[in-house]
Amino acid sequence: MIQLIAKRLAAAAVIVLALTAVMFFLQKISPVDPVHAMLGPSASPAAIVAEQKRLGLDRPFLAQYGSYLNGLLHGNLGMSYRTRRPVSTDLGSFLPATAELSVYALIFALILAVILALGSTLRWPGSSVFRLLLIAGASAPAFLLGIVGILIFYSKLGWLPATGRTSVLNPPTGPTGFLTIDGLLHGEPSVTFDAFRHLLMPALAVAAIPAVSIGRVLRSSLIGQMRADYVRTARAKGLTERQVVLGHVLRNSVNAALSMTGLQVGLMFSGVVVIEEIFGWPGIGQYMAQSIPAADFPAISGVTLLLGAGYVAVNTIVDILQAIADPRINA
Amino acid sequence: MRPLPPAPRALATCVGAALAAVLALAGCGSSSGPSATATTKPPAGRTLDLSFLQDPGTGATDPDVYYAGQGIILQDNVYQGLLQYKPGTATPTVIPDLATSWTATKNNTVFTLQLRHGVEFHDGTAFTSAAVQPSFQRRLAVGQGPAYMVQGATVTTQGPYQVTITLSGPNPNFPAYLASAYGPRMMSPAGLAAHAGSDHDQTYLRTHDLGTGPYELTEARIGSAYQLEAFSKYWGPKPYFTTVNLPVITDSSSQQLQFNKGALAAILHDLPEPAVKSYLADKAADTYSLPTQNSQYFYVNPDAGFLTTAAHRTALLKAINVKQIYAEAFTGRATIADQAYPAHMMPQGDATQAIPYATGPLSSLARSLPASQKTLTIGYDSSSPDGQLIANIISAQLDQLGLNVQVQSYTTAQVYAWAPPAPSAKGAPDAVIEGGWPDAAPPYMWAHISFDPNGGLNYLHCSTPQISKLIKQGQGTGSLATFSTIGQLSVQTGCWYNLVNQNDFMVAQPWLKGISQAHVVTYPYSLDLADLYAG
Repeated sequence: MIQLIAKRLAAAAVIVLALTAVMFFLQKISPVDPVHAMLGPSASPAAIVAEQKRLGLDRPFLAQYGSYLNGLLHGNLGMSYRTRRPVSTDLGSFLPATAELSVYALIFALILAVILALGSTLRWPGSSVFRLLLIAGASAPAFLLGIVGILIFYSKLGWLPATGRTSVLNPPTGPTGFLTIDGLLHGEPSVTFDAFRHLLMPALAVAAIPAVSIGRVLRSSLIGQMRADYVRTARAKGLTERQVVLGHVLRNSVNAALSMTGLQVGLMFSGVVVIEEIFGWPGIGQYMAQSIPAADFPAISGVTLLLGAGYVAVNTIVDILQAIADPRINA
Repeated sequence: MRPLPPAPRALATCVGAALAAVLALAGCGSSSGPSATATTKPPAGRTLDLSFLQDPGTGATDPDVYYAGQGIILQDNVYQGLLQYKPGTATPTVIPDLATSWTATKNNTVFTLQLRHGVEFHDGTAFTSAAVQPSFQRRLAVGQGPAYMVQGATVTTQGPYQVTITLSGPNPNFPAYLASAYGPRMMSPAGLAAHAGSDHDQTYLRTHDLGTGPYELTEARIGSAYQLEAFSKYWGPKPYFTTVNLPVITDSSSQQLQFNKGALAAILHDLPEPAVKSYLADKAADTYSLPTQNSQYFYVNPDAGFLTTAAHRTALLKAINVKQIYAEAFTGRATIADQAYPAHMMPQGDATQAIPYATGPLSSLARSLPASQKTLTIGYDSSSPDGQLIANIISAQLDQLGLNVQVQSYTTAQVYAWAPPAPSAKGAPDAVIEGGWPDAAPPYMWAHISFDPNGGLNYLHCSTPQISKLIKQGQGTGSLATFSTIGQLSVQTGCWYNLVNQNDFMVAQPWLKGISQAHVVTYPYSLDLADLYAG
């Protein structure tokens, strides 16, 4: 197990390093001038040169890259050209919103996946509806679900807010950064409730496609396992169907679904970026979207590194969970 | 095949419970959520709900940093300058603000201003002449885009309510600088000293303010929300609305839905064309098309393909059917431009832009071109849906005349990368659609940045020695005749085509009053919030 973790961490370091190199190379060949865009049309050439010097953009490419890597080792991701704050501070502001959305989306995705898989696999009157959802759900893009959700639950029914993360003016700012949790920790359940209402639609929109993908894989495994000899034996022993499914079949079917979950988490980040735009969710997706037109390289690079590291971390966790569920993988 | 076993009863129970929980949770909130039908009644409290479409951008709460569009509403309502532009008129007129009067020497080098009595900064400091020098000094120290307006200015005081500003050279536009949307604002000297830190107060001013305006900044969460509260000790008439909420909404459709449901009092900018048409036909909402100096220009690259001669460039410009562009994309929110400058800069009849629509010259030219030169790329700023719309319409028009037109988007930073001080517009397309407005109303403000060889908006590096010479001459005199000639010379180059003068198109709930009177022609996207009221 330790070997597996060590291998994964080493791979993560290589990936992050490669990401920084690619980002710097792209910046170098990209014909953009963030300083001129920042200072505007009336800025004198002297002012532009001074600002380029202040930001270190007048230095050779390798020197800039070396400084960046050195800063990275010390947790310094540079200053955002757009917000004028350290990128690490910006990420600290925007990441909790994205993390909260992603975590809830993942929870919703897993719950929905299990419901869809079991609902479509087992014999009961509603199974055909679940099978239809598994087929149709895969073709519904997240942004469309988001817009439809807003039209129904905000515009028509008025049940849920359309945009933003909270309606509370000064919400608690810690310790977790998750408003749904911080509200409770600060003794303000109204904040938690309000945050959950804001979160429900975007999280479900993000969760839908991963839920269907994970659900289909889980369903496929379930069907295979249901026909296995050990299931027949379990039934012959007199176990109830519930004991058979929940105690034996589900556990043996979960590996492939876990693997798919790892992949889907990566894809989910791209869905989060789009959904954050639609729902005005103040997360790193929005931060990234606004940084790109301004050629705010430190910000773009910071988000890319964060997402890359997050993707690797999630897949590492999935690998470890798979090894726990099926010790043969580790062998 | 063996039939699959029946579902455990618990599963059905779980599904039902989950659905019920979601619906119940959602339903519980309905009482505090927006109503299902649009409201036309004013809010019970004196809270005004507006919004930003996307975050207003770099330094939106700091007048010495901010140099863009939609954040002007924060600058304009929290801070005040010595002078201002008069609201409620299409004619840019400089009027007093924190200075009650001013005089200038004949050569426009020394300006003496009498300051207003009884003004207090939001931090409780009294406004006197002692605030002017630190405010100017801070702007220079921060050194961002708007700093040029106070470069070379020396401030001396004559008692607490008079200052003299001496410039390093003549500048008839200096009062316009002081009144500009990006002009120097007065900041509490005590506050500046107390919160300077290592970055000249920049960290502090991200979330606080040191102004004198009718509103105080009470909330500034980048990318999320901004809030203003009426300043109880404001020297002027007390604002009707005591709280103004400006959440950041990143999607125009969501913004419109919230307006339609009455959750927003108004949408002040960036409505896409289909929404404009829809609101113009909607009797439940009030629409406003208010004058600005924002224009959409077609820039031609004098170093590209067949466009290296003025005659060829002019043939291209003549082939653009501006009436069609106006009809398809700008009806109700713009006027067709007939001057080389943005609207309201020059008297009617000056700097005329006579480019009669004619497709013949370009058709003939296209036929004579080798196949390799028939391709024309039109670029537009990716942040501008209007630019994309114009580019697509022009593309369709020129395609019919024998050219193979491609449309391509570029980020704002890419577009700026072509402009001086870059030595050339390397990598630029054959033509670019870009909108913009001057920092202030005098024509020099546009002529310099657009037509000078080193102008910051001269993206495609086009000019002539005569234009440069006249701009320099006009800078000192401010002569309208000189700038009219410059405008006509710019038209003759075939490098610029002012297509439409855009208005600020705003949509508001019928109960929100005072919008036209609260709008300033030189402050795009903004309103003087203290002039708004419910009725």
